[in-house]
Amino acid sequence: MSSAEQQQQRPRFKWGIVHIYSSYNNIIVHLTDLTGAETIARASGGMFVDAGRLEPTPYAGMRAATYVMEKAKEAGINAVHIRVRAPGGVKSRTPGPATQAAIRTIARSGVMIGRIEDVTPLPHDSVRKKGGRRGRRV
Amino acid sequence: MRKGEQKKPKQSYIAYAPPYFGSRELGETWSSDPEKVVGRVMVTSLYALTDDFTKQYLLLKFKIIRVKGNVCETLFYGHEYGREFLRSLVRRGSTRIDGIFDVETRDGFKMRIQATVFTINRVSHSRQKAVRKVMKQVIEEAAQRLTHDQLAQEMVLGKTASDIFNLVKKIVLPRNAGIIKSKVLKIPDELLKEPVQQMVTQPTTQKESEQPTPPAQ
Repeated sequence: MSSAEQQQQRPRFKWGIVHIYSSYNNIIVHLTDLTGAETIARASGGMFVDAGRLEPTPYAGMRAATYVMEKAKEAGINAVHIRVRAPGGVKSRTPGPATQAAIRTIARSGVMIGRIEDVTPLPHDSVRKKGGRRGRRV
Repeated sequence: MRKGEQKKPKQSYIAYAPPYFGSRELGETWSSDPEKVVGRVMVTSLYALTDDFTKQYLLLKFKIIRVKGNVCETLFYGHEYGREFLRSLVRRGSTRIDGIFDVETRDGFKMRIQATVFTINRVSHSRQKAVRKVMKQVIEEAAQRLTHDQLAQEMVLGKTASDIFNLVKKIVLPRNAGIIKSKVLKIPDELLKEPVQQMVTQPTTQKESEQPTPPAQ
């Protein structure tokens, strides 16, 4: 088995995927296996701050990522791919302010980082954006 | 979490790329039941399979179709260019010509293939149509001639793309030609018929696999 020999030569990594969903209202950090079918840990901004307006803040993103990476260490994951996502569709296509902090925390937690991908769902065409003709009037 | 701890422990399963992509290890997945592993899809880059650093943007999908012990057999399930790479190809003042075709391979796989040609200059509609016709010709001919695994290899490694490039050259000046996306729409039933085998690994063997592998000589 040539593939078995190759495995022995390479350092053994246990891979996972961190899915980061980041909107202007919250952040969700979700760690799964490579298929995305098995969840290992999941955290959201609201688990670490009390006020709703603080949920998308870098602090909440950092705490959520720290929590998830602790769980990752328990599960023995030492390498991750990161998939960043904004709401997409007719809504915002840029990830919220917590993303940067979350990615930085993951990088500093000592795991190896593979790909960092943007997986925001982008429509090729779409329905009308909500808010009406005159926009949202605050 | 407490609920999860009461359930029976999950076994790990290792997925391998199909032989036509070098049978490399793709990664691990966990499940309480081998049947649940079937149908999961793993994404990997061509760089991980071939060690060719320039091919990092190409993402391949592999679907698990069978489980034997803790080894998963996979199937090429489609590929895609990375989003950033594709955006870097799109430029002002040049035309992007897309063609999406549904084809059936010689061994009964139905696939949807998207070919794209980027030109150097702006190109008239009639020429765009001609380019699309060429793409269709090349892809349909390839599908008729090849089986699913051969077609997958030709698409991913650039054979089909260079065929298109060389033919399109007579019509317009292409800057780049490629198969930017493909997916399997239907897998022939015979391939999926073989029943899933039950796990034979004992808990003891699992412990062994958890231990760090000895350094290679």
